[in-house]
Amino acid sequence: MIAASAAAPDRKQSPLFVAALAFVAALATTAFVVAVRASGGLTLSAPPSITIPGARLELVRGSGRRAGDATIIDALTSEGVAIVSLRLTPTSADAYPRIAWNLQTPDHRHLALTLVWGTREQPGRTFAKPIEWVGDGPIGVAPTAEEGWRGSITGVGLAVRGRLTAPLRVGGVTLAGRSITTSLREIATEWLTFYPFRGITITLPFDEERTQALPLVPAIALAIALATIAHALVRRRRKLPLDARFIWALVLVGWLAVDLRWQANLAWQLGLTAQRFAGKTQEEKNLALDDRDLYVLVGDVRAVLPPPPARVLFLADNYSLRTRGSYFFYPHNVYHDLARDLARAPKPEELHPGDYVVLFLYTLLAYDRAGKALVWSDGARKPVEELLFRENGPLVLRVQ
Amino acid sequence: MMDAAAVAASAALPWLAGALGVLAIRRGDADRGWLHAIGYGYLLGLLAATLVLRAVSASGARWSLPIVIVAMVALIGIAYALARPLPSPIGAWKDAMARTRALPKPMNAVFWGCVALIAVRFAGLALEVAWRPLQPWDAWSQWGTKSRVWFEFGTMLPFVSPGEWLAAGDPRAFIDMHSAYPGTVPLVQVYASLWLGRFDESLMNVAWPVVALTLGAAFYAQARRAGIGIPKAMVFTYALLSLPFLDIHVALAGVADLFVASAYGLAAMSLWQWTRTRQHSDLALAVLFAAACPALKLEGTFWALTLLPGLVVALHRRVGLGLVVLLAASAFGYLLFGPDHVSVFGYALRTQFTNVSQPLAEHLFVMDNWHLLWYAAIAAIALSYRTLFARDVAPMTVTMLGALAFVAVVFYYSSAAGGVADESLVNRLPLHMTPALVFYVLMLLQFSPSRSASPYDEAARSAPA
Repeated sequence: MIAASAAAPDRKQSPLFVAALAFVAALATTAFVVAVRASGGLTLSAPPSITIPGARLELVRGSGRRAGDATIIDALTSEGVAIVSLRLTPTSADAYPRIAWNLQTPDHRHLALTLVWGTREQPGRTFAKPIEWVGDGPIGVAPTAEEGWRGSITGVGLAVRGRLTAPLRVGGVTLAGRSITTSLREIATEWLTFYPFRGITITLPFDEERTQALPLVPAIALAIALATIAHALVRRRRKLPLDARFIWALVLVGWLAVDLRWQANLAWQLGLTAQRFAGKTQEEKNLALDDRDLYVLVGDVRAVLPPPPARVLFLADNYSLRTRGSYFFYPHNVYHDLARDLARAPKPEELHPGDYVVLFLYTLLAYDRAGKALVWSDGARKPVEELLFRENGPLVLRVQ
Repeated sequence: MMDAAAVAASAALPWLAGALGVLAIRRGDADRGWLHAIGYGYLLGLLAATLVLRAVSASGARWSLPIVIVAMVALIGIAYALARPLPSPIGAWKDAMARTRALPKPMNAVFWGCVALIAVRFAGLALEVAWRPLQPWDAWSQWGTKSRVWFEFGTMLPFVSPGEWLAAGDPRAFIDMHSAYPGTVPLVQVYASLWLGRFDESLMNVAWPVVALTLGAAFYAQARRAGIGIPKAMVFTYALLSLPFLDIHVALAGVADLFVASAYGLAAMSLWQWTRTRQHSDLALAVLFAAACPALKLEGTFWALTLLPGLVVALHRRVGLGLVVLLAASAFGYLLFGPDHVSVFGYALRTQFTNVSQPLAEHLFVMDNWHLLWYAAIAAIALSYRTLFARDVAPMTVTMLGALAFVAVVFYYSSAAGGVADESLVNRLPLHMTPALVFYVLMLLQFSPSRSASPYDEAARSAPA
């Protein structure tokens, strides 16, 4: 039975005050237990963290250069891999359970990262653990003893696989010493992470939380549950029913805690948005976008088109590029391949006289400049008039 | 300054038309109130504005601001004539303030604290919308495309499939990522653009924060009508409007999901009120907003259908619950004996189970997308298990079961499973049912057998909203 009462006790006895105290205590307990578990026991002081600047790393596969304190990977090998590594004075795996790589690149979508390491106990063997790349900033990984992170570590490395579309800057690597205080600090840092509005925000606003040791929402839910159980035990001992006001207050305090963080995040984001877009015209806002170069490029193409609505086929191999680029063409009547995998080029009979064809980084059609024709892989041809030609840039043609 | 006036006027006219329309629908109801009308009115008026644009387009005339203003003023006039005599808004305000002042100090502080938090939140979200150009992929690949073209040419030019586009060579037939999607949300943007006199990717989205805010007003009003006390109703209103995923769909305006969530939530709340009051006006509002769902997004049809079992349960509890069992058995039978693959509204329905539980659990319980909502929902259901199918609660429970079943089928047994696995869809469908779910949780806690009455609730039972 839950009791509700409208009596007004003094402030220190008020359900909100007691619930707030109980909530803080339960949340601190939850964080402490997770920190103890993460630190492998009641270790209060940690060995100092080992931080190695990127310039001291050795690039053993792939090609790159040093730039200041960092190593820049410019290209992968023909097998699509690059490796940077570092020899260490044998270091206790137990004392350093977490490794954080400081990496930066404008485009990491096609890259897969793997932590590799060796141990003194098994000198002929290289261990590996994939690293999930979420967001910007240091990318942490905590390999387990079962995965081979045990004994004395003699070297660590980072393997990069996939397709490198932009240079990858390796700023350095940190082996964080393990203790309750460092774990607690890490949890607190994660709880205060800022989640900016990015391209994925509309679907994955808090993507980084899935890799955190103790994400805030389950921590708060657990704290509420713990405080409720404690309340129930105390009330039972006193042979009293549960106090509904206490439980309501507890949930409200928990909700406020998680929402105030969100409010702070929104306020911070609003500052960034204001800096970038406030007081600007639509044109100026477009020029402040991440894809301003694409906007400018489409603007150059639009300059040679007649007033809308011209029928424009915007052909590019890259799905994101052709979809986003097409938007900048509206209100022209723009066509682009909607399939994620480039399915096919438009057939010759699908190009009508007066249509405009814009080719940009496109491989399914060729342009015979001397013969003034579009050429298909099967030899079919369509006469066109050239309106704009740029080396490595857009090609604008009008179908005859 | 001119832009601010245009934006304010673009919001005010449909809001007034809709609010008066709601008051007209509720003419004769003893608990007819302004807050309820304000909450339901904006979306209703906005939908009416899009119908005006459709009508002008169908007539062959080009859209212009004077035509829109004349039509909206005419709607306001008609609604006013039908709604008279109006309840006094000043009296309603004074009455609400008096009730708030009568609360004990801590409850008063909770009420005003929640109001302040909502005000701060929406001031920020409104600025975010006012400054930010279209950002979400869907906003500029399938919604903003239509509004851009339609505004430019002053009429609803057709959007066709890529095959038709290539074959026909028609310069006035367009394509985008989803040519077949309904035009209502782009028309909302066109409507605001007509007031602005230009296509402005930021200000044309004025409807997004207003829709969310009025959803909050409607939620609070309906909670009060259901006998919830002032502080509790406001705490739950704040809880709804504080949900990060809902806020994100306001801040990154331009996609239709917030509108579906709002329409479905308004429809569900009205339906559930009808099961209690049997006032025709509640049923009329439920039908109106349910009918709006398919006009907003294709899956809106399914959302509207999830309201039907609750309606049947309200009319005849045993028949309704029997129908639910029959539907569940049919679904189970389909899984066992149905064809491998059926195409419904562009989704491929499959009998093969795709396990997307992990991303779903991460998004509902680990990440901050929904604050503590899903934990609270589970706790409320667990606390109320004995009353879930009681007379007053069964229609709501059955509606929510229908909504959950829809989400489960889409996620686990359709082509959308890919979208859940790659996490592009995993929160959107739950967003559509969120306002209704929050109201359901509130009602469960209200009707929970383990709850003894609070004096604040009892005092509120006869209060008009």
